[in-house]
Amino acid sequence: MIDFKALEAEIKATAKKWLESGEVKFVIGYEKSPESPIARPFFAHTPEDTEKLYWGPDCINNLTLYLVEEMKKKPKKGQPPFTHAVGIVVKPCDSRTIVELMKEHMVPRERVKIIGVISEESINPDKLYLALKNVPASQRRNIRFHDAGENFRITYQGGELSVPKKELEADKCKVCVVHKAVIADVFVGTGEIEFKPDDFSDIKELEEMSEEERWKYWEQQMSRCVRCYACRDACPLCYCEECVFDREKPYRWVEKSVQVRENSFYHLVRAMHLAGRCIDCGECQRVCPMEIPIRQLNRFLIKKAKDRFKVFSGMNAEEKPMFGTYDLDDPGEEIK
Amino acid sequence: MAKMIKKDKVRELLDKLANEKFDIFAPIGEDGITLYRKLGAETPLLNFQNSSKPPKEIFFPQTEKMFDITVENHRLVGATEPPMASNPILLFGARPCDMRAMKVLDALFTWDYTDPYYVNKRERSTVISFACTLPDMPRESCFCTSVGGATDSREGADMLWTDIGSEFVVESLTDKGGKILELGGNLFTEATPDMQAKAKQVSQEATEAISRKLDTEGVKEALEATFDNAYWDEFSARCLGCGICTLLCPTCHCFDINDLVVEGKASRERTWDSCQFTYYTIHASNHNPRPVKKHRQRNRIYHKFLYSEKNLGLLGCVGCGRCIYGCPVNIDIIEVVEGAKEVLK
Repeated sequence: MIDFKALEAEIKATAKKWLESGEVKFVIGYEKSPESPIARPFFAHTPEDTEKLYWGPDCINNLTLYLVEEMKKKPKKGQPPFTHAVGIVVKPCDSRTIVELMKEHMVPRERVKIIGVISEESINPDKLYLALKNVPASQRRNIRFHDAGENFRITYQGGELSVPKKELEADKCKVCVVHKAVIADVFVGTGEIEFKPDDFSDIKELEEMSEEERWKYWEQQMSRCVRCYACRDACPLCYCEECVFDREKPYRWVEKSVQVRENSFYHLVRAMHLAGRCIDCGECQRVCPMEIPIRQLNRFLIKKAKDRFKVFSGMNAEEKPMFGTYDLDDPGEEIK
Repeated sequence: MAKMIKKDKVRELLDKLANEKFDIFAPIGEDGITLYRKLGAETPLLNFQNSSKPPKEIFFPQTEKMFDITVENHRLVGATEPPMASNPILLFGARPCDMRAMKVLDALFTWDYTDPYYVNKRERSTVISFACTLPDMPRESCFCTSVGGATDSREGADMLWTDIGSEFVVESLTDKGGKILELGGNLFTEATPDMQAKAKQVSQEATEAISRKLDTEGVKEALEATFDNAYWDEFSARCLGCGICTLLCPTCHCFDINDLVVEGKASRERTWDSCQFTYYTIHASNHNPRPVKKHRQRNRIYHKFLYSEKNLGLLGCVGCGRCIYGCPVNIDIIEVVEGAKEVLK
């Protein structure tokens, strides 16, 4: 059983040490918000700030996007390049993003100090809201999770309830392949790397559809898109200086009209740009206010990259990016 | 006199109204969320959490064609406006906060210029609001009572229906509401005093279940005084810069006008825009007066709680809570506004 409080104390202590010694400029972690049942991103700039750091299965956000944001910052003209390091708390899955970012030279190893938390599954916020449905809104405060074997014991203001872990598990966690960060300076918690084979059974039904059926399915999903671009903005690997979908000059690649034609163009192009890179952190789908199953597109391409190019992203920083390599043994006669 | 209608008679009423050429928009469940869609033969949701996208899109669609453009020999030779429809529109099952929000849009679209596209649809519309009742409403992020609203607010509605179990207590508020009663005929019957008392009670219970509170006292003064405060950097640091908070807001109304050519046909259309997008304020010179996230988040808060009241005399927030519920990084408008007041203290 996992003692979330103990993990939290270790995270606080490590972050505090790094900030006191000046090894890092700030630490990116999680804090508990007063009102939301879900933890949120937090930046600890001083040793005192670290008191606010939190850990629990509701630490869902992939924080590495803030790491890229910091690494992209450039000094004023004539000033020397930035060299400061940043501390970050990562779940095992998120650590794979850092590997991918290193492969793409977005994050130099020496500029990041990683607290790798050995964790079990994260929860799905929608499922949590459902579980809390019968708790009066006024009592849904100070929500904390406690590991009770098969269940989470969830305490809230004035009460507690017990919910089976499986009922709250985020979908992405069902196909998790790493239970320990693949890269870290400090590990928090105990456990060993354990790989579960991913059989991609969740997208089997979609793959077996005829082209017409599949298009009909996606047409329905894409018709809901409001083009808030949250899927792009929440994605740590969508880090282009200027996104092609924002670009107005010299011409637009996609019209602003919200209709299936333009919406699907956006989603398909984004998916292609993530092929062989996406580590399936699931943030795109979690943030979508219209419940579009964006992960299915990414999962489809993860499978393709694995089957055709033997590429599985985010495991080894020494590897070259899939799109950056060419091998005579690559499949596809037409492109040789 | 209050009336009532049995829940199992609702579809029959909608059939009658459809026969009267009403375009009916109603809440529909789709992949786990509620959306207002044009109703066919299906039964709309009668118990639902508020829609993901507000019903403002019925009157102010996210993308709306303004006119077709005729092009000959690469020259623009004319424009044809699409004919304005004249059939009545029925918005069935709107939540009271979303209808209060329509007052902001009404004021805006008739402010210095009367917007024909919007006004035409509004004039043709009849609105049946559903009072918020437990257990689906209120949501944990609802705070309508702090910004002048109520779970049974009648503002902007032609009828208010209150769910008391197997029937709705029906209150007609305008002539358009009276027309619906007339068309429904014997589907509506007299509500007993007990039923009316029950309707009052369930609304009261829903009001008591609202846990979020915002004290609007002193907000304007706080905002006026903190424009350049470092406070705005703090909370916007975690903002992703996505458009969820604005695109799902029932009072947000910014749009962008574009010309496009599809399969040889040119047209001009308008599409919702968001002040959270990087290029929202970009000038032709490439200068961007709101270059970073803090400027854009600050603008959203200022617009809701300061500019809207100055320009239209109405608060720009109705407390629907969508921006709180939808934000991927929990930027909470109540916390932000209360925080601005704290800065001043």
